[in-house]
Formats: sequence, C-alpha cells, structure tokens
Amino acid sequence: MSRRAWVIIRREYLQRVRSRWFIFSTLFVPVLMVAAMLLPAILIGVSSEGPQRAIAIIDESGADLAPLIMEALSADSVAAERLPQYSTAEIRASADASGESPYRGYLLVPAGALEARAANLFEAESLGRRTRNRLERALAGAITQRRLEAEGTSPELARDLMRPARLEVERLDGGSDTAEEVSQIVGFIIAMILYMMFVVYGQMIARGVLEEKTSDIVEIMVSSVRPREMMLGKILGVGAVGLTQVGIWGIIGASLFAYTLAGAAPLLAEAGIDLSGFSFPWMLLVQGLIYLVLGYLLYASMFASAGAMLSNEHDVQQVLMPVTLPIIAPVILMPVVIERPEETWVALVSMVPFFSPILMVVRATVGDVPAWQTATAMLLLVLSVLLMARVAGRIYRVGILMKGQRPKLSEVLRWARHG
Amino acid sequence: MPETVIRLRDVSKAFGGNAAVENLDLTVPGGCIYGLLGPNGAGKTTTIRIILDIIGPDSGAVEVLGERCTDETRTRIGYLPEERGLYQKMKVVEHLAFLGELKHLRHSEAMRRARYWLDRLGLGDRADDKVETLSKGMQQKVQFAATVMAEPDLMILDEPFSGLDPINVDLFRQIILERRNGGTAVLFSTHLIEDAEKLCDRVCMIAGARKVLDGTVAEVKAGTGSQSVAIEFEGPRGFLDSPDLIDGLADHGRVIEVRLQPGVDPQILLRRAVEDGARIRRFELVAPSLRQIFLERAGAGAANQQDGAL
Repeated sequence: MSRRAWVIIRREYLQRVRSRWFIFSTLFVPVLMVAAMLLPAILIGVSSEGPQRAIAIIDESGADLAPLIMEALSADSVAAERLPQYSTAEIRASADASGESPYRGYLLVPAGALEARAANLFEAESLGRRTRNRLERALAGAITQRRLEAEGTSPELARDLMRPARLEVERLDGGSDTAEEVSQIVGFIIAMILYMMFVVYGQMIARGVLEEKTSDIVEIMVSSVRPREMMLGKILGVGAVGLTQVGIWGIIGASLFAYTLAGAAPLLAEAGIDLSGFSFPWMLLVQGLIYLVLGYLLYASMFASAGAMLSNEHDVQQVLMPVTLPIIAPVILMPVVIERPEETWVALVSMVPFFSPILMVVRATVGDVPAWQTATAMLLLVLSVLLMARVAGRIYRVGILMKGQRPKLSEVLRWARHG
Repeated sequence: MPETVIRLRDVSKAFGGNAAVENLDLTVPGGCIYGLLGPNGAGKTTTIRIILDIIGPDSGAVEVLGERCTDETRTRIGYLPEERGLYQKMKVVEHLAFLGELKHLRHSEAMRRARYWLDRLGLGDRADDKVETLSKGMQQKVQFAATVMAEPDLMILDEPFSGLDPINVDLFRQIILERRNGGTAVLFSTHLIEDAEKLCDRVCMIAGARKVLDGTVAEVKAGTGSQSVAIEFEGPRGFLDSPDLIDGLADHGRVIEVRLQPGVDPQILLRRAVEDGARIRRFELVAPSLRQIFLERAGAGAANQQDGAL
C-alpha cells in the first residue's frame, strides 16, 4: 500500500476516534445492553415488593390432603396458607368486598375429592399456567398418596412411592446445555453487532464521501491521491475505527462477564449447574470477526460508491436505501434460520454473500454447520469483496468528480463497466 | 529543472459528445509564469485535469516534468483547484500538514512547514482552531499554503485570486513570484485578464475548447500587427465610424480603445476627431490590452467551434 493511503487511513482514524460521537457511542452501547439485561430483573424486583400473597387451601375432603398439598407447594416455592372452614360464598365475598383479596387464590378441595380427583380454584388474580400446573401436580400427588394409604399401603411407603423421579442427564454428543445457551446468547450478540457495524459504519462512509464531494475537498485530494487510494484509505480508516469500537466493547463485555460469573458461581453450583465443562465459544468469536471484516469490506465498498453518486443531502435516503436492504434482509430471516436450521434452502440462503456474514453466525449458534458450507460461504464472500471493490472503485472514480444531478442507473452501470 | 515542464500534443477530450478540449498543443517552459486564459467553460479546468492525470485524454500525448504523469511526478506538483474545500472539522495546522504529507512530507516536517506558512500568511494564531471557524478568504489562504508548502517544481493555480481582497492578492502574487524566482514553473488559469497581464511571462488563450493564442505577452501583443489608441473625449462620436481607419474598437466606458487599420497613421484619426468637433482629453498610443485581444479572439474561437459543430 502506498504511503499516501496510510496518510489517509491515519486521518480518517484519528479524526473519528477523537470525535465526541465515537466516545459517546462506545460507552453508550454497553450501558444500553446492560440496562436491557437488567431491566427485567429490576422490573420483577419492583413488582414483587413486599411478601407475595399466599394461596389459601381450604380442605373439606376429610382426607387431610392440605398438609401434603402445602408440602408439595413449598417445594416449588409457592406460598400457601391453610384456611379453616370457608364457604364458596365467603370466598366470593372476600374478593368482591375489599376489591383487594387477602389471598391470590383459593384452592377449595371439596368432600369426595379423593374419588373425583378434582378441586375448585378461585383466582383473585390470574395465577398463570405455571402456578396452576404446580397446584394440579400437588393435588394429584396428595390424592394418590392418601388413596394408597386407604388401600393399606403404609404411610412411609406411600410417601416414598410419591417421591418425584430424577433424571440423570448425560449428553452423548458432548454438548452442554449451559454452553449451548451461552453460545446462543453470544451468537445473537455477534449477529446484532455485525448488523449494527454494517449499517452504521457503511452509512458513515457514504456520508464521508458525500461530505468530501459537497465541500470540494476531492478537488485538492485527486491532485495528490488516486481515487482508488482515497476509497481504500477511507474504507480501511473507518473500518479500523469500527474494530477499535468492537474491541473496546469486547473488553467491557468480557470483564462484565467474568465478574458476574465469578460472583454467580456459588449460586449456580447450589442450583446444580455445573460450570466445570463450560468454555467460552471462542470459535464463534473468531468466525464472527472474520465475517465482520469481510462483510464490512463488501458493504463499505458499496456504500462508498453509493456516496460517490450523491451530490446533495436530499438524495441520501433514496440512494442508501437499496444498499441497506441486503443488510436488513438477514435480520428478517434470522428467526426462520433459528427455527429451521436443517432446511436446505436455509443453508443455501445463508451462503449468499450479502447474507452470509450475519446468517452463518446465527446458524453456527443453533447447530453444527458442515465445514464445507462455512468454507463455501467464506470463499464466495471473499470473491464478492474483490469483485465489489473493483466495480465500486470504478463508480467511485467517476462519481466523486461529478456535480449536480444524481446520475441515472444506466450511467452508473456504464461507469461500473468501463470506469 | 527541465526545459519544458508541460507538453500537450494534439490533446482532445469530449464529455458525452461535447468537446471540452480539442486538438490542444501546449508547451509550458520551465521557470516562468504561464497564464492559461479563457472565458468560463472554455476548457481550462479540463486541460488542468488532463495535465494532472485526474482524467485521461481521449487522444493525444501528455508529458509533465519530462515524463508521463505518474504518482511520483504528482508529488512534485502543487495544485490549487478552482472549486476548493477543506475538511471543516479538522484543526487548521493538522489539515495543512495532512495535505503536505500527501505530497510525501514526513509528519514532523509537514507540521513544521504548516506552522511556518500559517505564520507567513497571517494565520499563525488560528493554527489550532477548527477549519470551520475560518472565513472563506482565510480558508483560501490555507489552500494556497497547501500548494506551496511541499516546494513543488510545478504549481498549477486555478483562479487563485478569486474572492480575495487586494492586500491578499498582493501577498499571493509576492509568493508566486518568489517561487518562480526559485525555479518553480507556475501555470496560472484565470478569466481575469488584468491579473494575467500583470503577472504572466507567457499566456495561452483557450476559447471554445481550442487554443486561439499562445506566446509571451509581448509576442501576443505584437502579433496583432497594428496600433491601438486610447481616446478620452467629449462631443460627437461620429469620427469613430470610419471603417477606412478603424479596424475595431473596445468601449471601456470613459475610455475607448481603438485599433487602427494596418498602416494607418494615428495622426489622421486625431485630425478627423478634431474636425468633427470632439474635445479630446486624451489621445494615447497604446499596445493593445490583452483584454481587447482576448475579446476578439474568444469570439473568433467560439465561432470556429460552431463551424466545427456544423
């Protein structure tokens, strides 16, 4: 590379890294992400202020089911409280009269529940499917245990028979649930960062080229520098800014991750989550970086030539829209890829150069991608980058010296062919 | 310093069927100030862009500083474009140093020279301000500094004085002369003939994509082969209607510049004026001004162009 290209790279880099925008966005995005992750927890904390109201158990079965139900519920950490005699009318009245019932719900186990295997649940507020399932399980267990006792089984045996079974899971494919969950989260973050980088830095390039045109700085530049070097310098300089930003985010993210992990390890161990087999998905990260660089080069060349077609602010959105579409498309396709990574057409679409940077990363997080597909996607991507750089260079060379009217598509195609 | 710094031979360039430059031959000798004159749209900027190899000619040969213009020769050329701009958000001194570095100055040397030239042009105290805080004229000085700071062998200045006040025009002129005396060749494009007449050693006139005149200022004036008279008078203008004596005239307002037919004695015109009853305030033999030659030739060039189009 020529010395002049380096001078341009350095200018682009230093000007942008020192800008207020860069400092702000570099710090703001991690804050935003942390906030997005913590917000649900904070909201839950706010809503569960004060002790959770309990569920009242009214046992009229005469079979002493209540203690068993409550025992099962407490194992699931659902607060329950036993009420003595309490009629249906009283339940209704207590909810109506105060508007604010003392209990979230009332489980009325009626006489004959043992035979009917049924009870009534009155909800002062919606308990949700999870809590209902737990109540159902607790009720079924209690009824079965009492029935076994009634059939002559000793209470100890009956109790033992009703103990929940435990699954000892061993993954023969060598996978680990924790690792997969982490890799999905990491993959998703990488995909979002790729998307953001392509859009934000691509537009930055287009606007930079437009600024050089409208301020007439190109006129001075072209007397010293070849348009090819100008374009290369801009793309690499701005790209270096992007890598710096991603790097800073990476360091912030890694520190936060290590910090939380260290703090949470005892809690996780207590919950039975084993971290010994866990490792960070490094391969995913390396792949992400490669796709980031290649995808950036592809899109940056496109945005540079788009910027060279512009002569004023009015046309910016019109010209940049078609260039931005191929970046948005994979984001729209993402849910389908996550849902059905095995489909042939998904595999094909994910190898298309414009989509592959984001979609291949997403695919890698939800299942194994055959090596030949990764290789094909990367090869196609490299070829497209080379082709795009050539074509964009030609359009750029003519475009930056053009003034006035936005060129017609046919004109642009002619530049692309002949330069 | 080579004998010839720029040589164009039979160069043509057309944009979408419109000739911007047609069969242009141009030779700029070293160590002189060469004026490239012509009305707006005559093809001056295109000619300069071809010289700088910003655009390629459709046909013809271009030689700059003794060879085809390469990246290396371009570092020896300082160019001040007509449409000029700067990165508005950069510091003035850093911007100037950046432009110097593009001409292969080392960073430290570029910074040193940038400060020197800013001082010299009276912008020393603005060196660390952002470009956007400078007035248009100040930015023009920064751009001018950028063209001289790398001490080029050839300076190409496209309308360097436009929009400048007389004090700064004089400052620029001083520096241009200083560079010329130091051996730098200067190609200087303008549509302001008076600028060129005062500053240039040689001129070339382009009109309608073609060259219409070329030579030293004295040669160009002598080449018209006739005498001119500047007349200031009051009274009837009838004597000006004498096709037997007068070849053409340029009405400058108070002063009328008259070009005599070849071989006519100015005395005859003076006598006719007095006989007509004009009160003569001034009757002076002058060399034809470049302006007058320019007006005539530019018109002729435009006419040629139309013939060519038909």
